[in-house]
Amino acid sequence: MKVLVIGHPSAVLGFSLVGVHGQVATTAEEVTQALDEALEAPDVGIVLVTEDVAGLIRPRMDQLKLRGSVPLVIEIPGPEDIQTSRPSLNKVIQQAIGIKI
Amino acid sequence: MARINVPPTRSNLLRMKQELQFAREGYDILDRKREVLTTELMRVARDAEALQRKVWDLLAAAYQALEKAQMTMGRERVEWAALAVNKTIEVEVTYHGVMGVPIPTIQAHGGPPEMPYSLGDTTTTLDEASAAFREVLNRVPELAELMVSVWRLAGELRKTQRRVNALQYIFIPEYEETVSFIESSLDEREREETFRLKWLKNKLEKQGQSAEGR
Repeated sequence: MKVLVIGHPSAVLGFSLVGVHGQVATTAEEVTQALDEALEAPDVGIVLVTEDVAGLIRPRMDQLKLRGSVPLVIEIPGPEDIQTSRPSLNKVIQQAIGIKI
Repeated sequence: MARINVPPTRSNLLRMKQELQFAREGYDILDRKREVLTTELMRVARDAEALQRKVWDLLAAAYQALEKAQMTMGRERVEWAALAVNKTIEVEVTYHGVMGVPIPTIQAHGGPPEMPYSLGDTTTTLDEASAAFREVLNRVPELAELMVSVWRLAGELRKTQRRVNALQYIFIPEYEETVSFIESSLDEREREETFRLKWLKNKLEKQGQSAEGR
């Protein structure tokens, strides 16, 4: 199965240099549609969503990350988010689930 | 504390005691599950956090390299070069269970070719960007595996925590209260019964005496 990128144009272009297909998305509708297609596709194993668009559909993203089945959905920082200081994984989980590790 | 609304009879007492026992066993099992999940989650989260930081650093470098490549070659030429890349990493997802939680294991094989585009009309900045993204991509399967494991374990831990709390603070006290209520009302009834019998006996004896006296 393949890896797929959804989100920021630079991330999609960069990953296309190593053969990973991508879907550029900048609005909530676009990312929802791209995600729907990716979840339907039989040959997608991992979906990478850049944080700038993942933030637009936060509840759905958190739900997708908790889900067990293939494809696995994870977030990666986009080129703009990567410089900013990031909350630790513990914080992210505490916010989303309310469990302190 | 609320108690369950059942009539205080002996059969209900037995039933409540059984259910209390059942709830306590359930609590023990869930408590153990919670412990295992917590240990597992802490272990996985530590690894995930470390790997995530590493991948983010690599990704930051990759974005920078890509920007350079775009500046020297132009975005369109970079896109053309990307078109030449026809092979990429393949992943295989399997699951194993930790306390009934499916945790993914990802096996990756293959990868993008070392030099997919022709060297003639590309620049070294493109090679650098391509190499940087290759580094990132190589770590993506492991990262996905760890991140999804962390999320799944944390989600399951929350569910278990809720059930443990419900048993510990609501169900078990409720059953305990009901059992002690039934026990005390049965005792009370028994005392009344004894007293009634004594009273009856006294009365009968008196009647007997007065009958003899006549």
